[in-house]
Amino acid sequence: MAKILIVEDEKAINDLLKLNLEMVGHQCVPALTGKEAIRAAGEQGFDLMLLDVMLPDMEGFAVMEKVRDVPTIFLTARGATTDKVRGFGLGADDYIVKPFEVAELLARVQAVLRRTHREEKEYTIGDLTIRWDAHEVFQNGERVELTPQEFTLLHILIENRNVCLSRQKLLSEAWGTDFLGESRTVDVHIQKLRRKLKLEDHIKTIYKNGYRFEE
Amino acid sequence: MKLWQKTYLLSTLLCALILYGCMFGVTAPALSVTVKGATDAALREERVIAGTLERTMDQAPEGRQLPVMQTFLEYYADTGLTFRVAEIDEEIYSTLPCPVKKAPGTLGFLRDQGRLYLFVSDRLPSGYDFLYLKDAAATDALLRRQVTAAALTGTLVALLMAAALYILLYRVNLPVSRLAHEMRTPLTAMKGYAETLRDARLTEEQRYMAASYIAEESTRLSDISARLLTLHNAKEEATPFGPVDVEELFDHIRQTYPTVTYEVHWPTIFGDRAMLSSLINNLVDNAVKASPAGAPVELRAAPNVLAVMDHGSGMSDEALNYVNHPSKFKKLHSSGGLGVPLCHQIAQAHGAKLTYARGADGGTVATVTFYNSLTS
Repeated sequence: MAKILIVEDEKAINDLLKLNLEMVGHQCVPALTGKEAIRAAGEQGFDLMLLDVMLPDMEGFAVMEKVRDVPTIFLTARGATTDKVRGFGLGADDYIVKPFEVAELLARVQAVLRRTHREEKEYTIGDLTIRWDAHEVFQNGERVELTPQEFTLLHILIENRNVCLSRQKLLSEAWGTDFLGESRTVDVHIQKLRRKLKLEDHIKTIYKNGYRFEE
Repeated sequence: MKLWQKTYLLSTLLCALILYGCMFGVTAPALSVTVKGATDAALREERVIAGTLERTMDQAPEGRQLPVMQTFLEYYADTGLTFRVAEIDEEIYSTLPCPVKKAPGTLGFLRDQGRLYLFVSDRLPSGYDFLYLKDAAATDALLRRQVTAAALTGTLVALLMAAALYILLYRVNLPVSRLAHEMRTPLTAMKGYAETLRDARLTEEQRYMAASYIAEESTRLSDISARLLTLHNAKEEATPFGPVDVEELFDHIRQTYPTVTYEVHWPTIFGDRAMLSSLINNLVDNAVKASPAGAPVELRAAPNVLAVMDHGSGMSDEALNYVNHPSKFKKLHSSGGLGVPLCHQIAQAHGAKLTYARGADGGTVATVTFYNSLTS
């Protein structure tokens, strides 16, 4: 779980980001103006900042210059190449183009958290404990053997907990985009995971869509 | 670079090329007329001098020809003319400022140390080679003046054209790019909430929030679309103007906004009813939003003036500056969105001017002053 500062002046989009990031287990602090963001960053530490480039009171980049040492993903309009160049010049970690896809946003947030070593080290649900860096899974203190593929799939499902991932998305994320498998492969691996870890109640099949890990 | 800027650069370049081509086509004949006039005059003068010289030498006593010729040619020393007389290759007489070697029977220009000369090389019937050289500084200056004038005129016209084209393209493209930007936010929100509704496990409350945002943002989109259409119509100015009943206009607005009170001292305006209604509606809508709930918004029509007054907390200097000159701002301001530029457009189409000011009690007064109204 990471603590994320969301700087976006449009309340609808700020709420959208907050809703989705909290859904997958992050803690969010919303800021509607640049000043608010700088104040919040001065008062508490954050693992990540999502920053809109166009704010009513100041430019997003000015916020970035004031708020140092917080990994930043900035939100920009399509085709604004100068924004990208400027953002990366100031040390941004990634950017997201509006309008964005929620799944892509979550994936990029996870990628930046992983890169800056701010992702969660361990995850516990019921009698199950998973140590992400050691690639180990324990059930009631007993180690359970998972294949690397099963482990990756479990990781992606839990990283996107409460959000449904399509079979296609799971294939591209867990097997790599160049894997020309069938979506059947996903079903088989999901069955195995459910059986091995007794996760029948947590890995849900979503009608017409895919799978969702529910806490 | 944006597409319209590319189009602008290309068309400007093309127009400038065509313009310079035309200027060249006009200037070239004028230059050749100047050149021909100068050479013809030189040739005529040379013929006269050569003929006289020939006769003078014929009449001179034997052995005195050379001094006679010298005396005769020195007569021209002050007129900028210089000569050389040679017998076969042996120079007999020369006042030339520079060495010149030209075959007999030719004429033209030559340049020496930056000065332009006209020469005529001739052979006299007596067998002497006669070279006439004229200082052509005046012709040179004339040619230079003609070329400079053409280049300057061309550049000036090209610059004027480029400026006019820029303003035109900028004005056409600015509202479009603003709208495109305005639409991005509702689109992002609608797409995001729809995806969240489809994929995420939401509580009843979250589901309600997501659906409400989609509904709210789609209203915003249709609002933008409606305003775009009005903006388009306001620009076209195609609708014919007619008398509009102010009382009826105000009453119609009071039905939408119950807190509105009005006074009419100007019964009819000459204009477009739909556009004026949209203008008053926008002004009243902003005034109602700025007022505390239930506070009255006053509408007043005095000769040539429509005013909308609210008793809200008023606008900051920055916001006032924006609503008075929205076209100077690149980004749409939260205090008015697209409505304010639209109101200015409608006022302009009616020969009127919209101004915002602070009211006596700190609220805001929006005044539309009609300058060329036909009925009052």
